[in-house]
Amino acid sequence: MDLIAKLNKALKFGSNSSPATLIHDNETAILAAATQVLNKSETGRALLEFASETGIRLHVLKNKKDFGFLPGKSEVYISCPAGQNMPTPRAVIFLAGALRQAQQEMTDVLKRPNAVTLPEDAYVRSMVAKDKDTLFTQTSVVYELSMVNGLLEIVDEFHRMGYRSLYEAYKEDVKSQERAGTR
Amino acid sequence: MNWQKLERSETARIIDRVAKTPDGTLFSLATSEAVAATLPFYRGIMVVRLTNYATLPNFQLDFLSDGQVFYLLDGSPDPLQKVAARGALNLNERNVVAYVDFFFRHVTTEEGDIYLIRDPDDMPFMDSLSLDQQIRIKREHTDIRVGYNRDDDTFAVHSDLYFAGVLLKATLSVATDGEIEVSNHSMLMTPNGGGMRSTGQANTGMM
Repeated sequence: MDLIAKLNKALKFGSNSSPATLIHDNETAILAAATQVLNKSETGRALLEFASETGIRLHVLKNKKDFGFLPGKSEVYISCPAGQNMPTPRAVIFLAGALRQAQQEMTDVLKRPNAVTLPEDAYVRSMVAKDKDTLFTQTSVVYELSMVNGLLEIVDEFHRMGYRSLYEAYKEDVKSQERAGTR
Repeated sequence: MNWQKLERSETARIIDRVAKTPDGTLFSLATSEAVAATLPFYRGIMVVRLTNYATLPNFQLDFLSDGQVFYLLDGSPDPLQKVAARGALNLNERNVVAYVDFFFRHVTTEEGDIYLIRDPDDMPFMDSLSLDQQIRIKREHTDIRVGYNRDDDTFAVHSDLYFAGVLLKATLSVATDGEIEVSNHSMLMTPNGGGMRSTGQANTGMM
């Protein structure tokens, strides 16, 4: 099937009719495949081991964007569009991000600051640090999956998410560390 | 989009509606906020955005709603079809581009998102391209043209699209029930950066 035929198939009305629930109909299959991919990365494997040890539950919502960790319930949410039964590369990147957010919170490494007690600038600094750390983790996972496992489509997707220059900088940093023998 | 924050009571009602599903415990009134915006192509339907500030990071879901029924924008065309089937869609030559843009922002494919290029400088995927590719997109870009075909009661939107790493010039045929079909396409740029590879004017049609 050529590209336009695939596009028209996806746009066609009546191609998907799923129950009106937030949870994805193919959650089990998507999570099985996404965790399998994530497991191929050293960073991703460590995140999954952490989730297993701490009893974090994973969920997939019918949505095309976003991920998150709900601390009160120890639940991680990632998104995958309705009608799909395999995780998109973005869903794998989301899973890494959501698990890192969980790890930040549960290990007190970068716990969410208290907006009531903390001055505004300190609060903003803390939140930015959390986001940077999450993005760094996602970049590591993307790099490891592409360089070690040859999953280049995950790099393309990371680029499309707007992180081309970040990824290239990370790659250069790894190379220079390897040249210097520090990695 | 001109978002309006909803009253707490209205937010509570929305969460209650959403939470009626067995899995709807993701949002709670204490930690969530709802905003809504009107859309120029719908009568009596608004887009509602529910944000949960308890999740890390904040998590958002978008719905189409008449205030009673909430259709989750789930990445498929299904909720747009359901709303159109209620007779809420009112397309004309002035609002059809906004509809197509909204459609592509909320519907995705296994190959990734589809972008209607209204302004190349305002496209989120531009950072994923090399400088040469960015220059090529800007050079090839033409403004969107809209026409109405009385014979089959459809709108023709002639525009540039970016999809799966491919830049296309295409005609989008938009039916009055909101269904979109891409035809008359020519490729301007392929994923490896090749340019101006015309594929002719074939209507690839539906499956």
